[in-house]
Amino acid sequence: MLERSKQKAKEWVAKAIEFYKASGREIALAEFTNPHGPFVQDEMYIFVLDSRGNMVAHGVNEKYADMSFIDLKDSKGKSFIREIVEAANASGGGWVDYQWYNPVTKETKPKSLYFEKVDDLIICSGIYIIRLMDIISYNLENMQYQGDAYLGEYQPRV
Amino acid sequence: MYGASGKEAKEFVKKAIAFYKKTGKAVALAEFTNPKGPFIEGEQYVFVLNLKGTMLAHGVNEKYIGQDFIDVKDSDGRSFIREIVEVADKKGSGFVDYKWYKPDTKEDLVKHVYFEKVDDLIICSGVYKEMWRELL
Repeated sequence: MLERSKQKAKEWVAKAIEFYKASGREIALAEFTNPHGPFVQDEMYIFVLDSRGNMVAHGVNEKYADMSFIDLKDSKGKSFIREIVEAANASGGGWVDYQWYNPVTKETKPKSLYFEKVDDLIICSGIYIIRLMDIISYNLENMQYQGDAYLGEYQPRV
Repeated sequence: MYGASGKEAKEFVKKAIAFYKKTGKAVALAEFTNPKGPFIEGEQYVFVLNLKGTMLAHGVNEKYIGQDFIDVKDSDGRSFIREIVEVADKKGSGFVDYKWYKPDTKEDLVKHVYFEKVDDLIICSGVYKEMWRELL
């Protein structure tokens, strides 16, 4: 279930990269922050970082553009932007989990974010963990296991 | 009589301070004025002053940013910004009551504001005093 929900984040990034390749950098960045466009829909949106952690475009807060986010922490103290930038520069893309507010409910929730590097940009989009089955799987994945062997065999029936 | 509203105002300021501490000044000030963000909710919003009374962020009117508010008075002639700045500078935090418009109904109402100094910023948020609140 969680994998299926997370698929949506990956699809959004793929859609954004496709648009970027077809329309070019300037138009793509302008479109990612357009509330009437296809890249801002309810709680789903795109944000774009450069390879040093500066915000290039952000679908929920345009004022973030050009600000350095490299040292930003989430509500639990996780330097998730640094993680994104380091992983994107090293391997081209990946996933990161952190806490951020949902722009529809304005509540801080766990977010699973997919990111992919294209040219000098890192395109990011995530889903909020709000469905019950997703919350269960997410918590299992993020638990600090002590008995890895035992818990490694655990198969959540979701 | 302000028990509940004072608590709401204080919680909003505490939430803003927690965000500021994790994200830094530039991102926090940009977020406090974002209508899609968590710091503009119904009638509640955040505004931020520096110790000279200059407005650094305002959830309802962005055009206030950069303007000097130290001598601004409310409709009863009260220099409430000067009060906020002086008390914040001396004691670190406090409450002040003044009249201000409520953004959704545009009524001029008494507003109960909590403010707290953090670094060189004074983070403020308030709740409007309304008839129904008195009945609670």
